[in-house]
Amino acid sequence: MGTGPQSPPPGGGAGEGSQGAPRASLSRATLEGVQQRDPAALAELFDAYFGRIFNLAYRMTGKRTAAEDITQEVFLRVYKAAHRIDAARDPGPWLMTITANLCRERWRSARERFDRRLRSLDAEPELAAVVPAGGADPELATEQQDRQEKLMEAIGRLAPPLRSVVVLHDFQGLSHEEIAPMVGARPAAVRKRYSRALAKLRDYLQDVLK
Amino acid sequence: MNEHDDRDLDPGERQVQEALRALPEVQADAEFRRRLKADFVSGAILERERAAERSGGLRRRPWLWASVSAAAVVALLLLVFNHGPVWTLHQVSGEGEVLVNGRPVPAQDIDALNHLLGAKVDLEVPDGVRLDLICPEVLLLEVAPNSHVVLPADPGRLWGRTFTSRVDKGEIRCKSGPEFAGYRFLVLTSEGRTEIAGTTVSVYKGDDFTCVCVLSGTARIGRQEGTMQDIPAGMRKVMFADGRPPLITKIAAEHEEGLLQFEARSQGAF
Repeated sequence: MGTGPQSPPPGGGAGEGSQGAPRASLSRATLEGVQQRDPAALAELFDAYFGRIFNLAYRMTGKRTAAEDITQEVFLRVYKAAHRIDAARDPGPWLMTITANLCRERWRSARERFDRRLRSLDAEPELAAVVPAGGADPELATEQQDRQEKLMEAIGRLAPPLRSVVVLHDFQGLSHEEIAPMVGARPAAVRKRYSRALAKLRDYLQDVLK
Repeated sequence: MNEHDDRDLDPGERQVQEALRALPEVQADAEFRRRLKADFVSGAILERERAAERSGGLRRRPWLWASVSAAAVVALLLLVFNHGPVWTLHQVSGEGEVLVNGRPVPAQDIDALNHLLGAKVDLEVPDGVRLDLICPEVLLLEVAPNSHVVLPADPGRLWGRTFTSRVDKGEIRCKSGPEFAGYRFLVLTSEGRTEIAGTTVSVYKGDDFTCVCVLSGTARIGRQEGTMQDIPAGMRKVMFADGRPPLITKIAAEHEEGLLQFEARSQGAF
């Protein structure tokens, strides 16, 4: 991955409503502490971004174990490059770029191709874990679970370039301008990809969305 | 998020978008989060990576394991399949001490000889003792009295089908067996080399010459690879150490007699 610490533009300011941890930037003092690998500062960075990174990895790969591997690798890279972090910038875009790139690498890897072949022979049991257990109405809960599984399956059917854009926009709350440098495309191309992705999802989900 | 991004969505696309955004947040496993945070904050995450590297990349690449294992199995099967007949002691006559790799062994101690004789063994046979070794169905080899030789390697089935013996002193006689086809037996002396293919031949190494007698079939004899010459049955070729031209004549009576006796003994060997 050719991305250095915080090489994407410091967009940072995506709105609320995205999945994962709050989007608030860390203070400059905290980021200077991260540069020194101060444990308290590292803990603060972890708490601020763990949820977003894990959710992004999960939505991109559709697998909990893959998401854990990727999340761990992201924090390993952050630790190694901590001294080069720019304390004046929100590290969020950089972290999301690392995560997205790792997901793409994994998708292209021989291991992932092998896993995909295996998965095609079986159901995806991990999706059920997304839905919280219990609930007042078991029937409604089952229906919701079924709907969510279908949504995740539909996302999984998208080609990686389309899926990346949907996940970054709808789950991470990033704008097309912010996504563009992360996926190596121009904002107009990102917008097109997003539109194509929604069109495909609409086709895949015709029964679900009735 | 820039609302401008979603301005042009049609109702169907907007419905999809709303459904996606309504998906619940995924919670990571609490133990995984706790452990990763502890490793990240303490720096142990680096040590964990080093440990993973030390434990070997193969474990993280099951397909690589599978390929390496499959290659190993194929190599093992080939090795097993390639393993051809091995040299064993066929007959011993006479009394005295044989030197096997420099170790003295009584010629009548058949068990010890059987145990020690084999491929690439350095063998010195004293005057009065004769050893016959056999590579079953492939070659019978007599080491005549007062000889010093290095025995050939065990021939392989798929590769290693050329096997080579060296005669430093004295005489060997050899006769090819019914399964010899496709093999190539070389006998080296300081004066030259003899290539044997389906023949009964003796190679005698004197002090300053080598004499090769061909009783049946043909043998290719020469100083080196490029100067080999076919010598037919009933003839011999003598190569000299001092550079004189080789001599090709009829087999001498005493050599012919020795070869005939050897051939007679070999009747029941194959």
